Amino acid sequence: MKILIIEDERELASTMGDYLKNEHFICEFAHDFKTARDKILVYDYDCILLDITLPGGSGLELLKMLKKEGKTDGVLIISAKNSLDDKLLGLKLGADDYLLKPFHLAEMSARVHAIVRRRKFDGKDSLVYNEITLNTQSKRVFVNKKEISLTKMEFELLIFLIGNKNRVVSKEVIAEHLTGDNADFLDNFDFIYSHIKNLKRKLTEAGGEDYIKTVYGLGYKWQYE
Amino acid sequence: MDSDINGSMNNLLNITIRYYAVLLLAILLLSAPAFYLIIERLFIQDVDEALLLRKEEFLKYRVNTLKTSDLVLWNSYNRDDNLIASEMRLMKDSIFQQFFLDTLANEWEPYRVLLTPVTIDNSKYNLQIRISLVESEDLMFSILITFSVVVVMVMAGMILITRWLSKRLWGPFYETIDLMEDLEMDKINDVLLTDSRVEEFVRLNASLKKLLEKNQRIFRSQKEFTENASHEIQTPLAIFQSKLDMLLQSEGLTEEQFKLIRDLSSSTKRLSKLNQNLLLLSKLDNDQFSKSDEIDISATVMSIAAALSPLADIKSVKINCHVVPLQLKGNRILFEILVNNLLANAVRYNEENGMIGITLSRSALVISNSGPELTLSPEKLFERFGKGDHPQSTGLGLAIAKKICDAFGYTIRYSRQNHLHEFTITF
Repeated sequence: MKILIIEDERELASTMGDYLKNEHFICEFAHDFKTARDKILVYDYDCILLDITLPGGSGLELLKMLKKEGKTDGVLIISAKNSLDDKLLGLKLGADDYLLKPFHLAEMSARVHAIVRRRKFDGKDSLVYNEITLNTQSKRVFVNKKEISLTKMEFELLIFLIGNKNRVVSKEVIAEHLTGDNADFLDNFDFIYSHIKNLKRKLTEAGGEDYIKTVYGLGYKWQYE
Repeated sequence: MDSDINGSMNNLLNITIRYYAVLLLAILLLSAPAFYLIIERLFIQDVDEALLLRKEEFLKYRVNTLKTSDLVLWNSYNRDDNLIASEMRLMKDSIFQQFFLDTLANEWEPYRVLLTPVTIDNSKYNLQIRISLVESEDLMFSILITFSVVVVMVMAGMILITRWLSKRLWGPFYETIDLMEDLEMDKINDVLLTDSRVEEFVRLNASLKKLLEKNQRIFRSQKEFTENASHEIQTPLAIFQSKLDMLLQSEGLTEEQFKLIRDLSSSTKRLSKLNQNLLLLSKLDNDQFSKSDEIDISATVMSIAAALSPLADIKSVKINCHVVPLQLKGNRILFEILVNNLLANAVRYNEENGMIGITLSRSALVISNSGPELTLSPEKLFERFGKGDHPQSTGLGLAIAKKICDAFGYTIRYSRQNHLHEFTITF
């Protein structure tokens, strides 16, 4: 998969690239409007991470350009401005999602994976990891072709972990992903522990591998040994 | 909204008219009698001159032709020029007013009388020449009435014309007042001041326009500044957070180090929230929000409660929600922030197996929750940075809630009842 990161802060861009790159993802970079425009016009990407506050031109212009060229690259807008107008306009111009700075790389990764999935399967949005298959629209999960039943939280947790495979994610990041922006007023994140425990159990009981590794009890990692 | 030109007692027109009315009334009250007296005086002077003239005529043409035997006959034919025998010898002419009885009408009538000493046939007599003032009185009275009517008509005409003319002349001025009253900071460009021929209003409108434009420039640049500043702060924070995330991936991380990184992460999050809240407060201070959305209050309250219920479930906190249908005008985003802040607090400062009560009536929204006593004194509750115990609190949630209430004209109150924290927003 090819990812294009359009972000003028080089440090941020490179960190984002480091996090995303693995055996399946290749990351390219553009740090200003002109470079971004050139790359977009010449290449196709599975997902474009677009900072709309670019020097030399608004990122929204690039969005319009993509639409005009009839391209189907997925777009994740990244913005430092919490502007509802920008958000609505961006989504209206065809962006797939909108992420506010500062963000956790894990959150970014989960969204990029979602966009790539949808694009790859023409919107059918199904995820396959070895023996695990799931469909985000029907919310059904199969292990070794046998269906298992997960709660909403467990389902979201599973997708999130797979979308950050081989990366350590802290409990806080998981909590924030599962409960939205209000996670900051939870006193503790023990509830994450019980969700993880249940998920592991359901997966292994259905004959699946145990991919979820615990890191000091403070974080988790989806890992294939 | 139209200014009522005929409106209050103290508005421009009515004050002007009152002054005119008082002036005219004073003029009328003073001038009518003065006029009367002057006319009367002039008239009487005329009459007195006539009396003297008649006296001269008598002395020239008659006095030498009369005999004392003619006197009775003379007096009967010349009622107004009577010759009266008198022991008292007048030294000089005397003119005065006297009433005589009119036997036909049986009324006393006023006359102007001249008494002058004459000599007839070597005998001394007083000549009494008199002229009736009756008709002249009637005439003067008519003149007076006419004068008064004219003054009253002038007064009435002045009032009517003032009103009519003022509506035309002052119309643009009242429109300007209306526009200024309804002004919203972010809509200054839409303000169109009416043209007028009146020089002062042209000047006024020009000055206002300049002032408004200047205000709008300041407003815009302030708005841009606060937004840019906030945006600039988020970027280094984003770099910081992402580097921390990468750090977490390091090989051979000890538990200590993991914990440190987590703490750094949560501080970063707090900084970011603080930044956003400060920006919001600044925008509220600058009155940068429009207030013209139609908000479905009950739907908003219920959806925020629903969004927060998973979090409430984590603590086994039960939410009881009673709403009535209610629509209000305001700013939808601000209202959502208001309700979200209060409900989030209700979850945050709650205890295990606690409860949250949400009651919406047509006049108020009451949010109550169980939980431990406040460590902060209630007066400081709505101040900025007045913090409770919660480590992740930015201290701005309630300050923002209060500011939003102020912007809408609502009041917000806190009270502690039956071991429950209770916030009441009155619309």
